Amino acid sequence: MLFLFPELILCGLGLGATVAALFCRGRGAGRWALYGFFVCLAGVVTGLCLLAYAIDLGPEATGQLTPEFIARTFAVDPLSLFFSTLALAVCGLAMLFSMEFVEEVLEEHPAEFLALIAFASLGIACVARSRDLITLFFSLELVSISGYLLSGMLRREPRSLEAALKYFLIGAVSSAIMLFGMSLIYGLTGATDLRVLRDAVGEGHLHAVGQLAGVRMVSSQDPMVITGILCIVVGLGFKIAMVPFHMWCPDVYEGAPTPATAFLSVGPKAAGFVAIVRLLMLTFAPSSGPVPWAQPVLWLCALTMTLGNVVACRQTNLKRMLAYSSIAHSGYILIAVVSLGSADLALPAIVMYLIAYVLMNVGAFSVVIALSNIEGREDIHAYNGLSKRSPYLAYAWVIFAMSLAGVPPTAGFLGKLYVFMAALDDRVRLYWLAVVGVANAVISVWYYFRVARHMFFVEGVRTEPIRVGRGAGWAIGLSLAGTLVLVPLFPWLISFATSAAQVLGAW
Amino acid sequence: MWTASDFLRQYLAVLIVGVVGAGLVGLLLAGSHLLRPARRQPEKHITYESGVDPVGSMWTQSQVRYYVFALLFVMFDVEAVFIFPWATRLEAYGLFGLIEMGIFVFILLLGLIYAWRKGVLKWV
Repeated sequence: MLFLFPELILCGLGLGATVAALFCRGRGAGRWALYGFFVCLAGVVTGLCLLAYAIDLGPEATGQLTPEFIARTFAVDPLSLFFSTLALAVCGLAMLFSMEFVEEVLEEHPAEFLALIAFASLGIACVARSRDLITLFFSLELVSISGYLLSGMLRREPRSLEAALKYFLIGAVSSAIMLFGMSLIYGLTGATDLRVLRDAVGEGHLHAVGQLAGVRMVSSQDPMVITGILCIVVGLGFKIAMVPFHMWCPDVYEGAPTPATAFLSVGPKAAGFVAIVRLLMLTFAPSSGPVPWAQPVLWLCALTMTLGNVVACRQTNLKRMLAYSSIAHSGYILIAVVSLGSADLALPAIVMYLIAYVLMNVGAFSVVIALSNIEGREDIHAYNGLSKRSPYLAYAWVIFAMSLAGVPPTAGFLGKLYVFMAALDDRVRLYWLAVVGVANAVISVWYYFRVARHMFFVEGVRTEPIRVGRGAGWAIGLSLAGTLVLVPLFPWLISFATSAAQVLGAW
Repeated sequence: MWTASDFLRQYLAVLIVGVVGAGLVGLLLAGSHLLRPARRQPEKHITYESGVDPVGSMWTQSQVRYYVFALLFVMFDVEAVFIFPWATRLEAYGLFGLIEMGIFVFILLLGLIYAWRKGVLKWV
């Protein structure tokens, strides 16, 4: 039970916020958000200590410390512990940057907003833990359903409702497609356990499966297996907004309340990628023979990057722009996913990129939130002359823009570097994909810094200084610190991630 | 190696039963149609032949406030689905099962208390 600590914290936090919602009338939700943040902070610190302990113990001993009824569906390995700690950190940052929003903007159900954030984070953590198709699906649904509610929290605003309805309909359809794919795989093999599925789909592991009653071997080239896996790819593609399943993303991000958008852009995306790591990279990637999903995902990856970045250039609403930017970032991470052949580089690259992405995206969105709480709008002209009204916000944006575009002294640069390194490895040789990625990074500089141009070089209509709220200010500060401090820590982090990824070979 | 066609062959029996079933129904209906006398009257074509005359359109609106009750019903229905199998195997699970079920019911109870405090259970 010890290693399920992050999940227990998140579950307690969600239930606690629900209880707080019973007593919370109008004002006072901001204080609850602050308490939630401190609980998450303590949880992250404890989670990191547990992580060090788990790496020290090794996977065998860690597994033995977990009761068997949990270990059957919940993986207790360093990588999953790491991801659940990341979920805890996302939850803490989200509590912080939505502090002013729940206190001042949201009139109805402020504590429920916090509870939903906690439950969605619990879902992310559980996705990372899942060792069974059913647990995985349930956890993904927990993230999605909380997300639908979060995007519709401003229920007097038609745009928020439109976002919630769109998100719900698309999400329900994508879940159905994914579930159908899972049912095909289950129908063929008779197993839902991911470790059994890994051995049952593909060649050469017959002896491992033969002992399990009711499990059948299938070829990874079987048309129905390919159909099932591709259905799962489509379902997960919706969750991470992969082109051509990205159409919901800008509309939902624009209509949802800004803190909800900020959470949606990191939370469900992280959950989707963790699920991709578990399902596609670790389960449905037979060691011999072609990988059935690799070729389509390879092309969609290049398309996702390019479309995200090119369309983002045309946006004048910052939330829409960041939505397309998040689509582009999905594309960058997919580079590492398709560089499967160099898995010892690709897995750490995904881990690193997700950390960097969470920090810089939360930071960039916190700047948007801080201004949106005061101005109530997000179009680019609201940022005119921001450097005079609030130098803190303007300079913070420059740092986050550098990180998002991948300019050197930031975490975003190192994330991209490792992703491209995985693609350029001798075993993969996806040179053209790396070139497309670098070209895209260059395009993205333009639209991130166009906002900076408005902040510094365009005179604004309003000139009075902006008082940045405490919560959003601290969220920006923490992400800023993370984006910059992470850089010297990267060699250590990479060596950790590599050892965690090696452990996965035997999960 | 297990393939998709093996998988589909398992469902061959289902297909055969379906075809035979549909054929049987068609056969019986056709037989009775041929054998019975046919006396056409307009009364025989209304929805309830010897019941109340249907009035108005089929498209009626139901009260939106029912949805809360539907949700709560589903919630406790699912709870019952999990409690019944646990109750039949109560001794096998022992204290461990009791604690597990206690946590499960507690979380659902929290939901009920939440609904109650938010005035959902009151009929407005």
